[in-house]
Parts: sequence; structure tokens; C-alpha cells
Amino acid sequence: MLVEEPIQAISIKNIALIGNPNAGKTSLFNSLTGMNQHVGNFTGVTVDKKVGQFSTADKQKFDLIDLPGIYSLFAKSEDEHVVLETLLNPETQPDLVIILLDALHLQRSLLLFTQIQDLGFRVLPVLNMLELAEQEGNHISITQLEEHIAQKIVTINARTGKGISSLKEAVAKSKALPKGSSRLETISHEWENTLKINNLAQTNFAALLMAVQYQNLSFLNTSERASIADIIESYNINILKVQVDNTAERLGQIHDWLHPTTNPTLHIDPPSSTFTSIADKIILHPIGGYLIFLGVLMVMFQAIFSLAAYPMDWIDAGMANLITSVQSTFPEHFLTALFTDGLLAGIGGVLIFVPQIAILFAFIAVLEESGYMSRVMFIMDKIMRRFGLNGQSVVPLVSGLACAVPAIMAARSIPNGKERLITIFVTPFISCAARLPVYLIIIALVIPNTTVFGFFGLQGLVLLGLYLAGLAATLITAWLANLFIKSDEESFFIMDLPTYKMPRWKNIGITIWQKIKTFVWDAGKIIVALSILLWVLASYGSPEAMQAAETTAKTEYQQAPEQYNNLENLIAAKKLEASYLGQLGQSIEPVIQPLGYDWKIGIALLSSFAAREVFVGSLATIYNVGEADSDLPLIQRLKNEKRPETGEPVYDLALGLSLLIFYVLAMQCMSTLAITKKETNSWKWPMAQLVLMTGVAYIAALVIYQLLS
Amino acid sequence: MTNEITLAELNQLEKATIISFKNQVVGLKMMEMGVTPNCEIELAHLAPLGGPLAIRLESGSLISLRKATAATIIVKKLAK
Repeated sequence: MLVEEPIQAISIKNIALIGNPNAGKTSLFNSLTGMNQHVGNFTGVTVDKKVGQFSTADKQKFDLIDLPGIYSLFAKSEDEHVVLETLLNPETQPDLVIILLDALHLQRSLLLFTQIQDLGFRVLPVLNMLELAEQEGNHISITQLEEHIAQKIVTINARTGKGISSLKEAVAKSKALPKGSSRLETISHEWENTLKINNLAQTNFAALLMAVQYQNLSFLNTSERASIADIIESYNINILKVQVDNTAERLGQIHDWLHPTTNPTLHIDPPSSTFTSIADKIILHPIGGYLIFLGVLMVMFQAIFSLAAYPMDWIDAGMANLITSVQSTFPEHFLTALFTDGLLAGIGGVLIFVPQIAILFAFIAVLEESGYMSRVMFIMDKIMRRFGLNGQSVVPLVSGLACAVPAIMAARSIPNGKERLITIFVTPFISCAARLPVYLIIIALVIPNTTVFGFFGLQGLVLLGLYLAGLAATLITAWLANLFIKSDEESFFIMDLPTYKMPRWKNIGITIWQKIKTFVWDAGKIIVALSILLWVLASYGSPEAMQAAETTAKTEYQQAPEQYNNLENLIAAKKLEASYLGQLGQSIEPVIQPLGYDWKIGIALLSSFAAREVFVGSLATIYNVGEADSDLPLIQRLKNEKRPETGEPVYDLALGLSLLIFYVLAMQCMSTLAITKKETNSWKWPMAQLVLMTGVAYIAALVIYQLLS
Repeated sequence: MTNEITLAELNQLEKATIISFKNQVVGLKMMEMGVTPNCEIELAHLAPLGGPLAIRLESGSLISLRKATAATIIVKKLAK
């Protein structure tokens, strides 16, 4: 199979980067491509696909794809499937594979290396963390290793960037590399040759992989699948045993490479005084571990809400200034209003979240890069499993405090399908940052600013209670879902706890940048579009109705001018009532009246579907548009709002609590529904979220309002 | 052999040699992570309330797995 090609005929353009998890792949990818990279999706699955470009000193340009970190091509998780599919599919096969070897875990790095080499690829082995291994007393003879694998090894330090230029040089000369040929005397099966003859596989190992994984390989057509199934049946192949035997044989060979003279009974003491083992005594402590995690969460929570407040204020003030200056520069016209009140206000509503998202992802990236996150999964797994979740569900749930959209995306790392599904399903119950402005304004309206037991602010306690209510709803729903969703997939949770490392700030910066970009483009588009739609709906109605509203206002004003402040206000209020949005709000009033809400709140509820924080903006719009003097702060205007029939304030305690609990529980976010659809690949789950969450919210709000009013 | 127990029965900081895997899928995954038959391990950490456990390999790697998974792995306890 390994025919020598003339060097001129070889073209190397697409390079894949492969390595074990925690081997330093992200650092290497960032060192090679810098900001010249973008994140996409592998078709059909929800694994991030990072692609970047780099060029070598002789001006050759290469495309580099960063494949997910895996241990083996015998795919058991979605990440492994992606790598396998990319390598076997003739349309996505790379021209060269850079394999990152981790000097600290050379055995398992080499397992993956030999698998890929046996597929017949041109491979470039790159050894990382050699200094660290030597510090730990692990001496690696590179020359001997090069002899075993019959290839030159490039040594790098992905963190400091040392060796990157030699790596680029090696890539530039990679045309001269031999195509992979097995150094391993793998058990050759007759059926492997049958697959090769049928032109389904190029090498014996590719044939073996095809046979054991064909059901997961989407590029195979029906007849190819059928012929593989035939071969499996006629040769009576035990798929699992083939994988175990092949792995055992590779490991035996690698063991001989690494320990040529080691007596198997010779006992080597595992290092017990390294930084990692000392830190783990504290971080994984049965009590201390949880206290530390709680502390980390509290710091994170504080940072998201306090630290982010400053840049959020600047963005808020900046947008307000921009709107005012545009309004004063351009003539009063429909287009000016559309631009300022519709478009600019909408963009402001998106940008306001950037600080919180940046801080959240900075924390998550630091926790992940440092190696702490896998410890959290370790200590939390048992607790989370009681609710049908997984230790890895902690990350999405914590991220849910900022925004359910990235949080649901973060659930991708959960290997078990059922646990991942439940995590996605319940994450929107966690109170996200968008609910906070709603909580804050309603708490300020209906909860007195007093203290309990002398030092707890009552308003703060209510706020805490809302977050806890959201958490309780999350766990209860997960527990119930666990009873109803059936799965025979085994959940193993076999996971490497990496050594602690100082996070690399460049990696964290790039992560934050990518998350913000995703949020601003993906969620931002929807929010801006809906705020423009909302503005149009609130400003326009059917011409007859709008005309009639103005006439009614004028007539009412003429009959009793002393009852109204001025005519302008009355016209604006009547016009809003007559607008399309007003009509819509009034049409849902019968449904929401039992909860204590009037049509104005109805409008705000409807507009919350763009994003919950729009509630506040909508109320502001409703009252802004409804009253000409908009100098009065929104809270004051809400406080002054009276029920027409009784003269009592609209925003009393019963209504306030009813609204609060509605916002804790209801599914009111189109972006979340869209991301759930994308991640579960079905409308079933987002629809279930919409109906279940909103139904529970309605009942809870109804009970609270009816009890308190 | 009488001194063969499962990994789940090992106490914290006890050392053992991996003998075999009752579950082939677990065996494959463990082997890929560097836990092979005949290799020595130490039970490094136990999460409370029957939570997962973490074993340390000779290379220094820490691998965490659930107790139920550990109960499918046969080991031979090493004298201290």
C-alpha cells in the first residue's frame, strides 16, 4: 500500500493537530495560529471545530485544524467520533498530522501516535513538556524513541513557545516525510484484507477501525455498510475483543520501547511530594474541598455582579450619550427614531452583557486551564448523580448564572448522552444575568429596604432566595427527568485529573474573545432584530385605530382638561394602547389577569421573549412612549401607577412576588430555545422546555398572587 | 486467589497491582488511559459519601473513576 510518490506530486496544505486531552494542544494551536483562527462546528455534531492558518519562513501557507483531545481512535465519546470521522473520511483527510506527545504521559501519547501512524498518514511527532518530565526525574531518551518510531521528533514547550520555529521548519519540509507504516506487528486479520480489496480501507488498521466503528461513520453509504456488516458476520468478528487485543498489543510494544530493561516486579514509588499531590490533599479534602469550591463560586459570583457593574454602567451611559447626540444632530424623523430607539437601543441591550460574559468565561477558562475544574467534577459527581446529572454538569450550571446559551454549549463536554440531555434541559432554570435587572427593579419596587436581624438587607435576602428557588427548580426537574428519560448507555466518568498548571493568559484571552464574538453575533442578532420589531410594534398601529385614539384623547381632554396633565401625554398613552403591541398585550390580558398583570405588563412579558432583560426596557418604552415627560425615573413611574378601578398601586407585594416567581421559572428566551434545538438536534426538547417551564411558572405565579392579594 | 479484591475495596493510600477487568469496555478505556494489567497503582483520593475515587499511576497520572466502575476491576493488594 505504501507506494513511494515523487516529492513534487505531494501537496501539503491541510494539517490536523491531534493529541491527548491536557497535552497542551490549545497552547500549541494558539502559538501557531495566533488570532488567525475561528471556531465552527463539525457537521452533525456539537463539537467545536477550531481552524486556523499559519505560514512558514519560506512563505508556505498551511491550514491547521485543531481536533478534540482524545486517547484513542476506538471511539466511545463524541470527541473521539469526530477525530475518527475526520481521519477516515476521504473528503476531510488531512495531508499531514501533527501529533502532540506529552512527555509526562508518554505511554498513552504513543498509543494514539501508533494508531494514527498505522492509518498511513504522514505524521509529525512533537514532544511537549519534556522539561517538566525531567524535573520529575523522568529521563526520556529521545534518540532511542526516534529509532523506535522511525521518525525525527520535534521538541517544543507549548507554554513558552520554545521550539515553535523548529516545528514550523519541520512542517515546511514535511513533503519529505514518509507515509506512516506500522512499526507494530499488529495481529493481521484475514478480514482486514477483504475490506482492503473491497477498496473500503487503505491500511490494515483502517480496515480494523472501519469494521469496529462503521455504524458511526457517516460518510459510508448503505451498500458499504452492508458489505462491512457481511464481513463482520461471515468472519464472526468480536468487535470489542478486537479493540482490546489491538490496544493491549500496542501497549506491550510501547512498554518495551519505554522500559527496555525494567523488571516488571521492580517497584517505583509514585511521586508523593509534587505540588499537585500536596495541593490535592487540600483541594480534594472531604470537607475542605467543598469549602474551597464554595469560596471559588462566591468569588466568581461577586465578580460577575460587582466587578461587571462598572463596565456595564459605562456601556449604558455611553449608549445613552450616543443616542442623545444622534437625536440632537439629526432631524426628528421616522428614520432617526428607528435608528436610535430601535437599533441603537437594541445594540446597547446586547453589549451590556459583554462584561459579565467576559468575566464568567475568564473564570471558567482559568479553572479549566489550571486543572481545578476536573477536581470540581471529582468532588461533585456523587451529589450531581443523585439528580441524574454528572460531575461535569457543574460547569454548565455555573455558567448558567451568566447566560443559558453558552452554558448549554458547555454541556458538550459531558460524554453520557442522557446526562448531557438532562443538563441542557434544566440549565435554563438557573437564574441568568438577564433575569437580574428584572429582579432588581421589582425588588426595589415591592420589597422594603429594611434589614433583618440587624444586618441582612431584606432586598438582598429576597434576591438570594430567587437564585435558590431557581437552583431548587433545576435540581427537582433534573431528578424528575432522570426518572422519565430511559437510557441503556453506561456512564463511566473515567477521567484524567491533570497536574496543576499556571493558566496561560493568552489562551484565556483568546477563549474570552471567542465567547464574546459568539454571543454578540449569535444571540445579538436576535436581540437587536426583536428590539427593532418591538419598537415598530409599539410605535405603529392600524391607521384608523391610531387616528381614532388621537381623536378620543382630544375629546376626553376637552371634556375634562383638569383631570390630565397635558394633551401630549394623553395622546401618547392612547396611541400606545391602540398600537399593534398594545393590541397584542390586551389580547393576552384575560390569560394573565389571574396573575395580577395588566396589559402593559403583558406587553413587557411578550417582549421578554427577545431576552428577559428587555422586560425593563419594554416597561421603559411603554411608559416613555406613554408619557411625554420621561425625566421621572422608571421606578418612580411604576410606583405611581394605579389600578384604574381601585386606585391602589399596581405594583404591590402580591404582584411583585408573582412577577418575580414567574421570571424565576418561565422559559422566555428565544436564544435559549434556539441553542437547545441546535444542541439536541430536535424541536422536542426546546418545546418541552417552553411548555413545562412556562406552565410551572404560570401556576406558581397564580398561586402566589391569589394567596397574597 | 484469596488476596485478589476489587479496586473499590481498596483503602486510601493502599497500593495494588491491576490483575484484570471484568468489563471489557472499562478495560479498554482504562488501558487507553495507561492503566494496564500488571501495573501498580495507589488509591490516592476518595470522594466522600461513596463518590468517585482517584488512583495514581507510576507515571504520576491521576485517574478518577466511579466506585461502581472500580468494583469491576480486579486488583491484588500489595503489602505496605
